[in-house]
Amino acid sequence: MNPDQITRALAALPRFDADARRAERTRSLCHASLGQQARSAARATAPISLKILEPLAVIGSFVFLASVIAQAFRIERLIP
Amino acid sequence: MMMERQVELKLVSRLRAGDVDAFDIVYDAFRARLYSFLVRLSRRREVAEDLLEETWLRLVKHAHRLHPETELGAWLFTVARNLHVSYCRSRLIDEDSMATMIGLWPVSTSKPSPFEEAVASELDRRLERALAALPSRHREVLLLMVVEEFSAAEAAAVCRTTPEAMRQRLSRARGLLARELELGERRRAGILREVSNES
Repeated sequence: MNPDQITRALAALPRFDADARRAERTRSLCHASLGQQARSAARATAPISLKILEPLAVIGSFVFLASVIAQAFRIERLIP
Repeated sequence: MMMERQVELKLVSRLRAGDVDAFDIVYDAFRARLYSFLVRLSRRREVAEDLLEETWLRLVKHAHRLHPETELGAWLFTVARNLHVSYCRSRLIDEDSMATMIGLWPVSTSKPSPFEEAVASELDRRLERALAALPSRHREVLLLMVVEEFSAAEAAAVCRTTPEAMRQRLSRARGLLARELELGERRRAGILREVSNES
Protein backbone atom coordinates (compact mmCIF):
# COMPACT_ATOMS: atom_id res chain seq x y z
CA MET A 1 0.00 0.00 0.00
CA ASN A 2 1.33 3.43 -0.88
CA PRO A 3 0.96 6.43 1.51
CA ASP A 4 -2.08 7.83 -0.38
CA GLN A 5 -3.88 4.50 -0.16
CA ILE A 6 -3.09 4.30 3.55
CA THR A 7 -4.42 7.83 4.10
CA ARG A 8 -7.63 7.05 2.21
CA ALA A 9 -8.11 3.80 4.12
CA LEU A 10 -7.51 5.55 7.44
CA ALA A 11 -10.02 8.28 6.62
CA ALA A 12 -12.58 5.61 5.73
CA LEU A 13 -12.19 3.66 8.99
CA PRO A 14 -15.60 2.99 10.57
CA ARG A 15 -16.72 4.95 13.58
CA PHE A 16 -17.54 3.16 16.78
CA ASP A 17 -20.32 3.97 19.17
CA ALA A 18 -20.42 3.48 22.92
CA ASP A 19 -22.85 1.02 24.46
CA ALA A 20 -26.36 2.50 24.03
CA ARG A 21 -27.30 2.12 27.70
CA ARG A 22 -24.09 3.78 28.85
CA ALA A 23 -24.59 6.57 26.31
CA GLU A 24 -28.08 7.27 27.63
CA ARG A 25 -26.82 7.23 31.21
CA THR A 26 -24.15 9.79 30.30
CA ARG A 27 -26.79 11.93 28.58
CA SER A 28 -29.02 11.85 31.71
CA LEU A 29 -26.08 12.69 33.98
CA CYS A 30 -25.23 15.66 31.79
CA HIS A 31 -28.86 16.87 31.70
CA ALA A 32 -28.98 16.75 35.50
CA SER A 33 -25.67 18.55 35.78
CA LEU A 34 -26.77 21.23 33.29
CA GLY A 35 -29.94 21.83 35.34
CA GLN A 36 -27.89 22.17 38.50
CA GLN A 37 -25.46 24.56 36.78
CA ALA A 38 -28.36 26.70 35.53
CA ARG A 39 -29.87 26.91 39.04
CA SER A 40 -26.51 27.88 40.56
CA ALA A 41 -25.97 30.50 37.86
CA ALA A 42 -29.45 31.94 38.47
CA ARG A 43 -28.73 32.17 42.20
CA ALA A 44 -25.37 33.81 41.58
CA THR A 45 -26.85 36.43 39.24
CA ALA A 46 -29.96 37.16 41.33
CA PRO A 47 -30.24 40.82 42.47
CA ILE A 48 -29.02 41.65 45.99
CA SER A 49 -32.53 42.70 47.10
CA LEU A 50 -33.80 39.18 46.33
CA LYS A 51 -30.90 37.58 48.21
CA ILE A 52 -31.81 39.65 51.32
CA LEU A 53 -35.57 39.33 50.93
CA GLU A 54 -35.55 35.54 50.69
CA PRO A 55 -34.24 34.86 54.26
CA LEU A 56 -36.30 37.79 55.58
CA ALA A 57 -39.47 36.22 54.14
CA VAL A 58 -38.65 32.92 55.88
CA ILE A 59 -38.03 34.64 59.25
CA GLY A 60 -41.18 36.75 58.79
CA SER A 61 -43.37 33.75 58.20
CA PHE A 62 -42.03 32.09 61.39
CA VAL A 63 -42.75 35.24 63.44
CA PHE A 64 -46.26 35.43 61.97
CA LEU A 65 -46.91 31.78 62.78
CA ALA A 66 -45.64 32.26 66.36
CA SER A 67 -47.88 35.29 66.87
CA VAL A 68 -50.93 33.37 65.60
CA ILE A 69 -50.20 30.54 68.06
CA ALA A 70 -49.70 33.01 70.94
CA GLN A 71 -52.97 34.74 70.08
CA ALA A 72 -54.76 31.40 70.07
CA PHE A 73 -53.43 30.61 73.58
CA ARG A 74 -54.53 34.01 74.86
CA ILE A 75 -58.08 33.50 73.46
CA GLU A 76 -58.23 30.04 74.99
CA ARG A 77 -57.34 31.43 78.47
CA LEU A 78 -60.04 34.13 78.21
CA ILE A 79 -62.80 31.62 77.53
CA PRO A 80 -64.07 30.17 80.84
CA MET B 1 -18.94 16.09 8.93
CA MET B 2 -17.79 19.40 10.40
CA MET B 3 -20.39 21.62 11.99
CA GLU B 4 -21.16 24.93 10.27
CA ARG B 5 -19.52 27.80 12.16
CA GLN B 6 -22.73 29.85 12.55
CA VAL B 7 -24.62 26.82 13.85
CA GLU B 8 -21.73 26.05 16.19
CA LEU B 9 -21.66 29.60 17.59
CA LYS B 10 -25.40 29.48 18.26
CA LEU B 11 -24.98 26.15 20.02
CA VAL B 12 -22.17 27.58 22.16
CA SER B 13 -24.41 30.47 23.14
CA ARG B 14 -27.28 28.12 24.02
CA LEU B 15 -24.94 25.84 25.96
CA ARG B 16 -23.73 28.84 27.96
CA ALA B 17 -27.35 29.43 28.91
CA GLY B 18 -27.72 25.79 30.03
CA ASP B 19 -29.97 24.73 27.13
CA VAL B 20 -30.50 20.94 27.32
CA ASP B 21 -31.63 20.67 23.68
CA ALA B 22 -28.41 22.34 22.53
CA PHE B 23 -26.46 19.85 24.59
CA ASP B 24 -28.32 16.97 22.89
CA ILE B 25 -27.42 18.30 19.43
CA VAL B 26 -23.73 18.57 20.37
CA TYR B 27 -23.83 15.17 22.08
CA ASP B 28 -25.31 13.44 19.02
CA ALA B 29 -22.90 15.21 16.65
CA PHE B 30 -19.71 14.35 18.53
CA ARG B 31 -20.43 11.20 20.55
CA ALA B 32 -19.31 8.61 17.96
CA ARG B 33 -16.38 10.76 16.80
CA LEU B 34 -15.07 11.21 20.33
CA TYR B 35 -15.62 7.58 21.26
CA SER B 36 -13.82 6.33 18.12
CA PHE B 37 -10.93 8.69 18.88
CA LEU B 38 -10.71 7.56 22.49
CA VAL B 39 -11.10 3.85 21.78
CA ARG B 40 -8.30 3.94 19.20
CA LEU B 41 -6.12 6.11 21.41
CA SER B 42 -6.58 4.09 24.60
CA ARG B 43 -7.04 0.71 22.83
CA ARG B 44 -9.47 -0.25 25.59
CA ARG B 45 -13.21 -0.02 25.22
CA GLU B 46 -14.07 0.35 28.91
CA VAL B 47 -11.41 3.05 29.39
CA ALA B 48 -12.72 4.91 26.35
CA GLU B 49 -16.26 4.81 27.76
CA ASP B 50 -15.12 6.24 31.11
CA LEU B 51 -13.07 8.98 29.44
CA LEU B 52 -15.95 9.80 27.10
CA GLU B 53 -18.36 10.23 30.02
CA GLU B 54 -15.86 12.43 31.84
CA THR B 55 -15.39 14.56 28.68
CA TRP B 56 -19.13 15.27 28.48
CA LEU B 57 -19.35 15.99 32.19
CA ARG B 58 -16.51 18.50 31.81
CA LEU B 59 -18.45 20.17 29.00
CA VAL B 60 -21.59 20.66 31.10
CA LYS B 61 -19.55 21.69 34.12
CA HIS B 62 -17.80 24.44 32.14
CA ALA B 63 -20.70 25.22 29.76
CA HIS B 64 -21.60 28.58 31.34
CA ARG B 65 -17.94 29.64 31.23
CA LEU B 66 -17.34 28.74 27.56
CA HIS B 67 -15.93 31.54 25.44
CA PRO B 68 -18.57 32.70 22.91
CA GLU B 69 -16.14 31.90 20.07
CA THR B 70 -15.34 28.38 21.27
CA GLU B 71 -14.78 25.74 18.61
CA LEU B 72 -16.67 22.82 20.09
CA GLY B 73 -14.84 20.09 18.17
CA ALA B 74 -11.40 21.32 19.16
CA TRP B 75 -12.57 21.92 22.75
CA LEU B 76 -14.02 18.43 23.14
CA PHE B 77 -11.06 16.65 21.52
CA THR B 78 -8.63 18.66 23.67
CA VAL B 79 -10.44 17.61 26.85
CA ALA B 80 -10.66 13.98 25.67
CA ARG B 81 -6.96 13.90 24.81
CA ASN B 82 -5.95 15.54 28.11
CA LEU B 83 -8.05 13.05 30.04
CA HIS B 84 -6.32 10.21 28.20
CA VAL B 85 -2.89 11.69 28.98
CA SER B 86 -3.87 11.96 32.67
CA TYR B 87 -5.17 8.40 32.62
CA CYS B 88 -1.90 7.11 31.12
CA ARG B 89 0.12 9.01 33.71
CA SER B 90 -1.96 7.66 36.56
CA ARG B 91 -1.90 4.09 35.34
CA LEU B 92 1.59 4.12 33.77
CA ILE B 93 0.27 2.32 30.71
CA ASP B 94 2.80 0.23 28.85
CA GLU B 95 3.00 1.49 25.27
CA ASP B 96 3.77 -1.97 23.96
CA SER B 97 0.74 -3.60 25.51
CA MET B 98 -1.43 -5.60 23.18
CA ALA B 99 -4.40 -3.93 21.59
CA THR B 100 -7.76 -5.07 22.83
CA MET B 101 -9.96 -4.08 19.94
CA ILE B 102 -12.24 -7.08 20.14
CA GLY B 103 -15.94 -6.51 20.45
CA LEU B 104 -16.18 -3.05 18.94
CA TRP B 105 -19.21 -2.27 16.88
CA PRO B 106 -19.10 0.29 14.07
CA VAL B 107 -21.89 2.83 13.65
CA SER B 108 -23.97 1.62 10.73
CA THR B 109 -24.38 3.95 7.74
CA SER B 110 -25.37 2.59 4.31
CA LYS B 111 -25.18 -1.19 4.04
CA PRO B 112 -22.24 -2.44 1.90
CA SER B 113 -22.30 -5.66 -0.14
CA PRO B 114 -20.93 -8.86 1.52
CA PHE B 115 -17.84 -8.69 -0.75
CA GLU B 116 -17.18 -5.04 0.13
CA GLU B 117 -17.71 -5.94 3.77
CA ALA B 118 -15.18 -8.80 3.67
CA VAL B 119 -12.51 -6.79 1.85
CA ALA B 120 -13.05 -3.70 3.98
CA SER B 121 -13.07 -5.57 7.26
CA GLU B 122 -9.81 -7.35 6.38
CA LEU B 123 -8.18 -4.03 5.46
CA ASP B 124 -9.71 -2.31 8.50
CA ARG B 125 -8.43 -5.07 10.78
CA ARG B 126 -4.89 -4.73 9.39
CA LEU B 127 -5.06 -0.97 9.72
CA GLU B 128 -6.45 -1.07 13.27
CA ARG B 129 -3.70 -3.50 14.28
CA ALA B 130 -0.97 -1.34 12.71
CA LEU B 131 -2.46 1.81 14.25
CA ALA B 132 -2.63 0.21 17.68
CA ALA B 133 1.05 -0.74 17.43
CA LEU B 134 2.17 2.89 16.98
CA PRO B 135 3.34 5.05 19.89
CA SER B 136 0.40 7.14 21.17
CA ARG B 137 1.81 10.51 20.01
CA HIS B 138 1.91 9.20 16.43
CA ARG B 139 -1.43 7.46 16.79
CA GLU B 140 -3.11 10.64 17.98
CA VAL B 141 -1.80 12.76 15.12
CA LEU B 142 -3.16 10.25 12.57
CA LEU B 143 -6.50 10.10 14.38
CA LEU B 144 -6.83 13.87 14.55
CA MET B 145 -5.48 14.90 11.14
CA VAL B 146 -6.44 11.96 8.94
CA VAL B 147 -9.44 10.29 10.55
CA GLU B 148 -11.02 13.47 12.01
CA GLU B 149 -9.69 15.74 9.23
CA PHE B 150 -8.49 18.47 11.61
CA SER B 151 -6.17 21.07 10.09
CA ALA B 152 -2.57 21.24 11.35
CA ALA B 153 -3.48 24.36 13.37
CA GLU B 154 -6.54 22.72 14.97
CA ALA B 155 -4.64 19.53 15.79
CA ALA B 156 -1.78 21.60 17.18
CA ALA B 157 -4.23 23.38 19.49
CA VAL B 158 -5.53 20.03 20.73
CA CYS B 159 -2.01 18.68 21.35
CA ARG B 160 -0.61 22.01 22.62
CA THR B 161 2.15 22.24 20.05
CA THR B 162 2.90 24.12 16.83
CA PRO B 163 1.29 23.36 13.43
CA GLU B 164 4.77 22.72 12.00
CA ALA B 165 5.49 20.14 14.72
CA MET B 166 2.16 18.47 13.91
CA ARG B 167 3.01 18.29 10.18
CA GLN B 168 6.36 16.70 10.98
CA ARG B 169 4.77 14.27 13.40
CA LEU B 170 2.15 13.36 10.78
CA SER B 171 4.80 12.61 8.18
CA ARG B 172 6.69 10.41 10.64
CA ALA B 173 3.46 8.70 11.75
CA ARG B 174 2.52 7.89 8.13
CA GLY B 175 5.94 6.32 7.59
CA LEU B 176 5.67 4.27 10.79
CA LEU B 177 2.18 3.11 9.89
CA ALA B 178 3.30 2.01 6.42
CA ARG B 179 6.17 0.06 8.02
CA GLU B 180 3.81 -1.57 10.52
CA LEU B 181 1.44 -2.59 7.71
CA GLU B 182 4.33 -4.08 5.76
CA LEU B 183 5.57 -6.00 8.81
CA GLY B 184 2.06 -7.29 9.42
CA GLU B 185 1.82 -8.41 5.81
CA ARG B 186 5.15 -10.25 6.07
CA ARG B 187 4.09 -11.97 9.29
CA ARG B 188 0.83 -13.01 7.63
CA ALA B 189 2.65 -14.34 4.56
CA GLY B 190 5.04 -16.27 6.83
CA ILE B 191 2.17 -17.90 8.73
CA LEU B 192 0.42 -18.84 5.47
CA ARG B 193 3.67 -20.41 4.14
CA GLU B 194 4.09 -22.42 7.36
CA VAL B 195 0.50 -23.68 7.18
CA SER B 196 0.85 -24.71 3.52
CA ASN B 197 4.18 -26.51 4.24
CA GLU B 198 2.59 -28.44 7.12
CA SER B 199 -0.32 -29.57 4.96
